[in-house]
Amino acid sequence: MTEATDLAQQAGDRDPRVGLRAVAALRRLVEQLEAVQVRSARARGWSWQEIANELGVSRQAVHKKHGRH
Amino acid sequence: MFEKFSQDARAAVEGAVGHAERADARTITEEHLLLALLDLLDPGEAPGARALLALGVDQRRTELTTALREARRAGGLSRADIAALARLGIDVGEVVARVEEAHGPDALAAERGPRRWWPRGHRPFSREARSVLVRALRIAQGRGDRAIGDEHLLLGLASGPGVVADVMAEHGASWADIERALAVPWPGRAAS
Repeated sequence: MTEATDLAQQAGDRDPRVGLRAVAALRRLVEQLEAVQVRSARARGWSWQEIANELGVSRQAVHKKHGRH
Repeated sequence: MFEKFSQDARAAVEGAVGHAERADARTITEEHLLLALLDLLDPGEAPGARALLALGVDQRRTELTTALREARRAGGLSRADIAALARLGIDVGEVVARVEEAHGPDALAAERGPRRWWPRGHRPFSREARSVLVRALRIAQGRGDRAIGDEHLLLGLASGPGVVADVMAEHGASWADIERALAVPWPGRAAS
């Protein structure tokens, strides 16, 4: 951890590489978090419509992304 | 495409299928490919395996596989990703701990999306892993090599964006490291 942390610190907050990497990493983390939360909601009996409402997307979109076929 | 693969590269691809099967993964990923390429270290005769040996990657094999596991546990983030997010004030370790507390161990490591039927009776390569194969082909062509060998697969992995390339770089097997090791003629390394 320390090596990579040092690298980021040395590069500084204004280095676009660190900033862009953070954006890409955050996006990946968000996708995983969404999957965890959707699975959890389904396990608790939530409908796709209810999940879609909370996520602010259409029912079709959330079902296509997370639904079991 | 696979008819252009050397025996070593075929062994690596088959090995990757085996790793994916044992992990009961939905797709064959870059990680499975790397694990299979590391398996070639044992005979250590394939060109790519020789390069990894020259780089001392065999000594760091356990650390490397642990880092891959940790990255998967953190939702597919490498140490460099985690450090970049720390600069934003996001403590990925804390996020992982809280999610696992609520949803169980390895909650963020789970594969996303629907489990699809395998059209040809075997699990498919992930989109990223397919890109590695395509890059390996281009790299082999670019170097004027007739067959795709395990060294091209390694370079294909190392040249990619993503967690596997990051983990490789963090363990002394970046694209540049591998290129450098491949440039030393075998057994020239022993002499140098």
